[in-house]
Amino acid sequence: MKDEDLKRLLRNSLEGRSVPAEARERILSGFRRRSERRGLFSAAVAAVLLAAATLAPLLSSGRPAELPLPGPVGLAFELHSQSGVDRHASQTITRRESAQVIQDAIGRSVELPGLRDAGYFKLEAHRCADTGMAHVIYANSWSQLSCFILDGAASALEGGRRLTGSNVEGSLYTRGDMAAVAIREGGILKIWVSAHRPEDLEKIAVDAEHKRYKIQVLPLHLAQVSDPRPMGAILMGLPGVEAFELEPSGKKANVEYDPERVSEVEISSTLEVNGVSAWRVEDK
Amino acid sequence: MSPHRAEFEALLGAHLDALYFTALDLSANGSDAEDLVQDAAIKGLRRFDTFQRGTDFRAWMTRILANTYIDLYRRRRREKPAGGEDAVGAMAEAESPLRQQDVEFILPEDVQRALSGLSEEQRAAIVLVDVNGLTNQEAADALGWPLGTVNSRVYRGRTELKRILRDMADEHRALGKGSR
Repeated sequence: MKDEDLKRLLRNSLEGRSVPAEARERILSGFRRRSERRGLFSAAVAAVLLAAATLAPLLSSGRPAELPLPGPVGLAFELHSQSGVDRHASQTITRRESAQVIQDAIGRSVELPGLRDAGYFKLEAHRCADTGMAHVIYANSWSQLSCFILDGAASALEGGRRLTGSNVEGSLYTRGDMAAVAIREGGILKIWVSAHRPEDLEKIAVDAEHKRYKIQVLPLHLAQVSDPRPMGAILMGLPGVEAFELEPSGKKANVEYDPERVSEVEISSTLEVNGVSAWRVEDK
Repeated sequence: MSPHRAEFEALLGAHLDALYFTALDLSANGSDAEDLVQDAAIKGLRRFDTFQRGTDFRAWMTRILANTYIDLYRRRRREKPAGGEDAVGAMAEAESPLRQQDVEFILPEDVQRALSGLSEEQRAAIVLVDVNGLTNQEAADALGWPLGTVNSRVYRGRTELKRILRDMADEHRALGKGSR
């Protein structure tokens, strides 16, 4: 059957369905209730903001005003605070998927390392529909961290504090209890955002920049194993192993590791000690 | 009630059937579908200034609905182990496709059941592109997925859908049931 015939079959079969009356009522009354409540809330917020604006000059007593943020940084703070994820400490996106999302969003290939040393796992990556930025979310069980990636050729990074003590070009910003580190490299702008203390986020972001050049991937063939999934847990216990991805076939896996901290031999021996026979893809 | 809001509610009421069933096809769950339509309606009302009068309200709201659905999808995705989609796709490709003569053995409820038998990613792509008529690019924008991902999910979804429908048609044929 041709795709057009399938579409016609779908539409003919699914057209003309009616919402049950009770469901219709529940949807409309829920919508009215919630949108009215939102309206009242907005009015209350507007009143508070107006009062704050009126009283601010009286209360500020010389406190320095917060500097305006560069557009992309302000947007990154906004999007980060809207991006709640269900946190749990396991990787839910593969390296290939996140790389593909970034490539499709900004048209260039940008490798983002794992952040295991900082205690984070990559949870998801998506393209922000309104802005075209790629958004990669890292999380652990208590907090999350965002990295926004965009074509940064035209973005000016004014204000903020310049990063010092490393050869990474970037600036640090704060808003409320959040911090952002914007790093520009080769026409790409990366904005890291989290609720860390600014100096801690700076360390994570700079470390990620350095690590990009160090991390290597070990592609493995796996021998017949009844359930290869525990391999991830075994390997992630090794210091220096950044990520483990099992391919859907269950016969291949990729291990991302920091060669300064762990060797391929150590990875293979750990697997062998745990009863898993694996060898480098090109070795076969 | 403001005229702005009244106009939105009138349009929402007129298209509620289509929006509810799109939400139901996407989420495969009645109570999620109601929540999705409500959430999308709240967003739609907030963005109603950007809606161009005279254009297709249903298509506009479908994009907002898809965008709302994607949050639910991401939550679910984290709850499920990854990797099933490829296996399903590979299996689908190995099966025989649906034939034109099978159509007479397929009932409308079979189509709904077949849709709910797809993986969540494939179902979202098929519901938006094939059922609601969005282009692959519009679906990609609404779902925040790369275009290539949508293309592949539409392709695999169609292949899998044909396989499921073919099985259903074979089953009905064996039982001597025809819909038409």
